[in-house]
Amino acid sequence: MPPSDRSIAVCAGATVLCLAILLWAPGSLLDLAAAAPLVFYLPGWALLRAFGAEPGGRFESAVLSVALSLAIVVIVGVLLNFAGSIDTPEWLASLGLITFGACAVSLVRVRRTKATGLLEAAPSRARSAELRSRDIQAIALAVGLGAAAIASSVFLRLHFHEFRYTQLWIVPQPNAPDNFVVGLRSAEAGEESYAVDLLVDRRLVQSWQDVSLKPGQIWTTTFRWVGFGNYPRTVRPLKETEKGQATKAAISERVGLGAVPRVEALVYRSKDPSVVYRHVWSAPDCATDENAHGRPPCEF
Amino acid sequence: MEPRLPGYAHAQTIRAVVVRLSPARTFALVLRGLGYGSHHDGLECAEPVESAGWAPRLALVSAGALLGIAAASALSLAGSKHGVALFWLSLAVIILPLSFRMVWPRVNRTERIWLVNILGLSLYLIRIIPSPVAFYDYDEYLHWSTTIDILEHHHLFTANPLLPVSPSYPGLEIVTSALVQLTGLSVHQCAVILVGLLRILSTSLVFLIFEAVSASSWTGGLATLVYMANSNFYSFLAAFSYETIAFDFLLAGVLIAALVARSTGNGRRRLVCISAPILFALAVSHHLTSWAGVLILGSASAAAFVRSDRSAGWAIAMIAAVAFLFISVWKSVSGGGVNEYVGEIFGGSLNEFVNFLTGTHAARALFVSESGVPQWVGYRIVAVLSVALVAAGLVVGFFRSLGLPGAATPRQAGRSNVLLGMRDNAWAIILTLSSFGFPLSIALRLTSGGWELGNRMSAFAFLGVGLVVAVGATKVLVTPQASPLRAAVVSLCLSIILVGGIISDLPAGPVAVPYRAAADGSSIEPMGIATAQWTRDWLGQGRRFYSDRVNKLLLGTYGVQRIVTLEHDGEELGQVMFDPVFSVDDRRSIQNTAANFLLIDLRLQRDLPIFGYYFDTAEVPELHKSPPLSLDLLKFDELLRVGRIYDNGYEVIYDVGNLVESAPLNTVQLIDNTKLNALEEGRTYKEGGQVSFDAALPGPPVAKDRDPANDARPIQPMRIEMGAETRRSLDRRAVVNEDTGVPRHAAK
Repeated sequence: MPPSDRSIAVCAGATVLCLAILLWAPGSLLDLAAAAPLVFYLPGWALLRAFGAEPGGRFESAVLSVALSLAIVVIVGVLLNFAGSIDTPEWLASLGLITFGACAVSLVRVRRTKATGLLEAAPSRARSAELRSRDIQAIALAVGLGAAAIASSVFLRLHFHEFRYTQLWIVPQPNAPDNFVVGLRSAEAGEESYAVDLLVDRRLVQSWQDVSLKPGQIWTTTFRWVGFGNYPRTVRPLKETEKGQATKAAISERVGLGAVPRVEALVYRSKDPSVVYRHVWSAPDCATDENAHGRPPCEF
Repeated sequence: MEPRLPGYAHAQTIRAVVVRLSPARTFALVLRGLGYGSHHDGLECAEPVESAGWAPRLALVSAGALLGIAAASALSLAGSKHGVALFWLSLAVIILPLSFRMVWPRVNRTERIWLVNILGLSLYLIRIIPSPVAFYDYDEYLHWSTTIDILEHHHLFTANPLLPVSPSYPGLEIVTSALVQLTGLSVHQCAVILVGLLRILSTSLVFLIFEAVSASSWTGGLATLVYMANSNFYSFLAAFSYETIAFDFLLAGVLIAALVARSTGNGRRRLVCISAPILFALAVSHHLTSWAGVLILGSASAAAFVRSDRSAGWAIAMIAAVAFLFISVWKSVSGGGVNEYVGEIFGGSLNEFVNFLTGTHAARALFVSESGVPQWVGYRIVAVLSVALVAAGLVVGFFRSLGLPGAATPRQAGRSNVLLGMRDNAWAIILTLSSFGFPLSIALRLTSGGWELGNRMSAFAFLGVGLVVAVGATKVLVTPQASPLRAAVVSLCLSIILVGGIISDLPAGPVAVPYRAAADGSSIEPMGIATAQWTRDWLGQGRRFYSDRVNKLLLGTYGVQRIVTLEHDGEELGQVMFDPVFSVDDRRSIQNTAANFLLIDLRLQRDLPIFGYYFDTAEVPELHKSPPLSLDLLKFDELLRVGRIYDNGYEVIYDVGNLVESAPLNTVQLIDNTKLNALEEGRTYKEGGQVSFDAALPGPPVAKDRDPANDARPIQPMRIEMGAETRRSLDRRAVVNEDTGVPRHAAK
């Protein structure tokens, strides 16, 4: 087989192999080894030959093949957007068809020029540089060292935790707006033990002691909102001073003069129960006027 | 014959010298000294054997130095001050041997190709090492967001509030999506692979362009080295950003056009055809770069018409026309507010620069960051030296580069066929003239507004600077007969130029540093990422969030949330965050933007912002005299309608969805007095922060009208008046206060 036919056959064969791997043998590294030529090289190489536009020089040809392949992927992406959807089967079909099509056209072109006897002058190629075995060893070692540098930095970043913390949250349960989830997740250095208090309108309704969590573990509890009596709450009487003098409030305004229904969760660390470690509370989840935004009206 | 006076010969000599040094001749001498119309032989290496030469060993040295870079990052994260020193030492180990070998004349082409790619790839990996598992640059997150949208919706042109113009130019995101969908790897992993390939591609294309223009791989290699000194190469053009891929398409288009110039007949036509897909991809990838491509190709075409053969001019003009056509087609297909976006960049920059020239606008402080921290003196010295050396190289190489011969000029041509220093090499003419962009880009960087434009220009201007400096170096400074000492000095100068370019494109620091607030890449760490991921897992995607500059990126990408922005929602909420008291205007802003959640990062208290703002660009500079107070950031704790739904000790998320409800101001629902418990009557009021009771105010009697049966009955619902002004009316007793939202009763 003449060199030009052989190279086209190799391109077509490589395309088949890449498509086969991507279709039937999923696995990240192998998929990457198959996808990279299909995205970065083969379509451009085939199209260069189909047009007969290979520049002189193997290096120039390789560089333009890569640039052309990237351009083809961009164009295919745009066409897929209008034609259907941008997804894996469409990529495989498009890139495979383009590469095969270009290989077929280049084969026909080469055969036709041979048949007509109009052989074009082969592009001049510089004498190829062969790598000596010690060059190959040096390059392999360099690749290894470079990979080690990257791997060590990945390891460092994954294990460098500048912040140690605990997450606490209270959110409505999806698809069940009357239900609330209180969650706790530890990202501390080691196992921690917590106490959790649940308050409704500043009244303790439930408490958990010794909730132990290892780093990465999550604890949740779900409760249901069933109404909380009369709102706004009754105003506590103010202290009166001597007649004629203005009196001052002796209580918290928020609690004493009215509050909206809400649920609070407080977390303490067992080793330091005097300090509130984390504190969350829900937003009132009812509407107080006609603009409810999908929430039920507050019922007082 | 008359006898000659003594001194006649001396006078004749002086006369000859005076004649020689007439202004015209002096000028001609100067021009000749600068290389006007000089010969151009001897630029090519005489080494006939192609081999990898020293490249494998230098690759090994560079890889070893990369381990040093990794160690420098580790030291820096541990708080050691030696990390930065180790970084620069490792960088010197990479750059110096490579640049010396590239300067050396007797190196074959294959080895030069290896060397430029080893250097380019090493610089890329140095940038990856501080942040190998997450994106680092601000822009990378903007394009990641667009990629996420393509992967989720399987279509283009979805809205990206972080960078509205990005979905209209999705070239980079299309290729990344293809890789993600075919390999199953994450977006970040695919991005690292793709951008690494783009780095090798761009380095190779730049080398081939310079080699094609100068007909010398030696000059091509040196020009590529100088090109790497542009202030975008180290960081910006190594980022996951749409200009990165667009620039490679631009270079490919220029290379094809340069090859067209020396091709003929069918070969030329085929090259023009093959440029079409590349130019279309360029138009799809980036707006400014595609316009720059039209400008460069059009100029080269004009130069070819004037100084070269017309058929080459027509071919290049065809390529330029195709590029222009594709830009127009794509703009109409994609829509997008590119005109406003580009107009803002250009208009703002040029306006500020003109004001600086006319004296109405002050220059920015040089070598000082936006947070007011001055740059280390060593960086300043290297940066100034770098600019000075580039300027010297431009002087030495300008005419020599301008007069590079094209394909039609024999190698040994003399000074014939030279017009204003130009011969028939259209690309040499255009690239040399484009080096004027270098002083312009330096001048633009004297102003804050012009800095962005000046910085972006650098990548294009250095296509000319690289060629000019390299030609000057190879013709004058080194020459094929140069000694090792002279080569070492020149390589040192080129290394300083390169390091100066790296310094001007450094992120917050050269190595990984511990967390720093409001510092883009240095503010991205696992806890912030975990919070953003929590929002996606527990609140769902697409919720309307607002936060500071860095957390917006994390929420928009890791959290897949909808970020409230000025462009999409009409206003920003930065002032809401800064206000010590939640005011009427703050409530109105939240209502207008329909923000659902606010993420407050209490770590903002630690530092001033590196990039000039915490939340949005319109922040008043006075706010940056000191970091915000936690008291101000946590004022939402006091609002009854707001939930504090997430707390990790450093970050708090508020649910402000209830504030979005429109409630009329200054209205109260009247309540029938007879149904009220007398204790709740509105003799209480609030004024000046104090709650008081005024028995003299009119109202129902406290005791005698009380009906015990009413105690158990539910009272009428109240409106919680948020933001209404304090007012008192004897008629209606409607008393409300502007900031507590404490309900008040009103009596008829």
